[in-house]
Amino acid sequence: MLYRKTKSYRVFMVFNFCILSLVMIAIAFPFIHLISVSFSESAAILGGKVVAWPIGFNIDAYLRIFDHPTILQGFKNSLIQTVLGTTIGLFMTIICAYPLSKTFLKGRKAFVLIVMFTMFFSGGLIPTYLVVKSVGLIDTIWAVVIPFCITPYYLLLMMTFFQGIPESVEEAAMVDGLNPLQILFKIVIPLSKPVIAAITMFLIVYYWNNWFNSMIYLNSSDMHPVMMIVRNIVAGADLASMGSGIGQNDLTTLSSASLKAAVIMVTTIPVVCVFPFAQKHFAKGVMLGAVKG
Amino acid sequence: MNNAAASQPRSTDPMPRAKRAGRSYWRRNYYYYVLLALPLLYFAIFRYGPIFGNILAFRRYTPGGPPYGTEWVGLRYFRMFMEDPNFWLAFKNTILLSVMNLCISFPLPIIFALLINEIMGARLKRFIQIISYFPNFISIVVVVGLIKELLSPTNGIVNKVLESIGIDPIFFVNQPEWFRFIYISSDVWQYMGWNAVIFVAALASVDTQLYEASELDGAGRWKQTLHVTIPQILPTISVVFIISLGSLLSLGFEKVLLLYTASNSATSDIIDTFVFRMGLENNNYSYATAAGLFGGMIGFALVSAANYISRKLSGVSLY
Repeated sequence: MLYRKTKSYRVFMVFNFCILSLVMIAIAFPFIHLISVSFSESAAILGGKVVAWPIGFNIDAYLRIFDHPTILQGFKNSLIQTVLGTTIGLFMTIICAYPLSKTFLKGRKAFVLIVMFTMFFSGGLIPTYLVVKSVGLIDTIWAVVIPFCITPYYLLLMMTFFQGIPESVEEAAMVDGLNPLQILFKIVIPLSKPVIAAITMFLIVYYWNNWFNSMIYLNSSDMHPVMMIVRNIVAGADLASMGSGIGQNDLTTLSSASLKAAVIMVTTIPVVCVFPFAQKHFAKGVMLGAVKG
Repeated sequence: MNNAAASQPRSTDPMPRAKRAGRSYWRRNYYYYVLLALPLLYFAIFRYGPIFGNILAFRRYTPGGPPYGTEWVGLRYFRMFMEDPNFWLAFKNTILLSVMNLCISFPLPIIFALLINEIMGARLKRFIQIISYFPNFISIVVVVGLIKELLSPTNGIVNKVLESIGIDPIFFVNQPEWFRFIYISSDVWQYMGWNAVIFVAALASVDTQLYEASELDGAGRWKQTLHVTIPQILPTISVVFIISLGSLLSLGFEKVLLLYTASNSATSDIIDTFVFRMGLENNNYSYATAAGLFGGMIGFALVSAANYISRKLSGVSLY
């Protein structure tokens, strides 16, 4: 690695570190700023003094959130949607990917084509809405859970991973008298932890973050997930009603900015919690294999 | 006679050989088909149902009637949106925003990955990557919330900074001339790190012998990058490019919808928001389906064309 010693390369590396540091700051700053705002007093926020550190430290905004029945209900709804959606999605993806990973299976090619086609051409908003409506799912939790449970991309990811498992492993199990179903659950799934972890993470994030499906498919607001409440706050529609939910005069002591910031932060925490566990599984093999497959 | 008796079992076998093989194929493999039954049902109803439901674009929908409409009206709804200036505005906005976004959001992750690749320490590399792809997992609502807070005309930090250097507060999220900038820069902020993951992986898998060989030939790092690194990751770049072209017109609909206001609609109304407004807000289902189908067809044509060209030029294709 002779080039590393040249002067021009060292100059480049200095620039490189500066650029990457700036990128890191640009990525992290909005979060740090919002966290600071959520812990700050309103006078400091309105005065523009809060940058990357709370001024007039207080946790009132957070106390108000956890006192708010709508937001707590929203958290509960989000949790239910996420658990149901992730479980069903993972189950469906596995039972679909496993047979499709068997190249000798008759009709496999046709099925893969059926799946691939939906990656590039989907039915569109209105026809999807009408299908969900006509099967009677509107205003039930299934409307936000079932219609999107298999993502073709994750399916291909899982299928490619299954194909990478040596055939001899499954053949040995078959000689021992296991049927394909038993092989899938006792051998293939335990061997596929990395891809299952990654897809579980994607699904959890998808269902936790989703608000649009709830908006169009769930009419009753007591079923709305917390992201839907964030949307209403972001859109500015619910701010007044949020104040009234906990006593209107509170709004004078607490700027709405810190409340907004606190809600945004709290809803992001679950993602922050899952992230470290699953991110080590975004191995290069998983990602690259998917694109090549 | 003896002979015939000996061959009897074989000749009375009701199944010819080929059929028997077929039968044992089914006996051995029916489990796989059982597993596929549920996903097949899912794809039929929730994926292909809507695709075939697009015939609604050619039929009149009556409230309470079947989801595929009640009577044929031909191209009536297509003519209707073709004559609607709002549709063409949305169409123009979609194309402009997509192309601008592609031109900026596609090369940046590659450059970012190349810069990360020069970092020697594995831990530092990992740290930078983890921080940079974290925003990918943040909900769009939260991202828009961040945007609106940072850019708020009353207490957003951007306007406070502008104020301190003597510029009047700008209501960024309400002004059409700022919409594209906000959309694209927040897209870069959210997805650059994640989109770079695949390129970093591709860079890590480049054969080090190639570098050693080029070093013997006297190539500096810059020349190596141009003549070794980039050609080596070109297949990955092509595949990612085809995928981005294929999803070119499927802009972040949710983000646009959240950033959309009546006052910035001159640039922020795209086909998807047009379809949403016409369909789910005004209940013109057939009209919205026709407009949506039109957009979908263009998107599909784009991915097919990109795939075809890529296969002819470099032998890389998705299907």
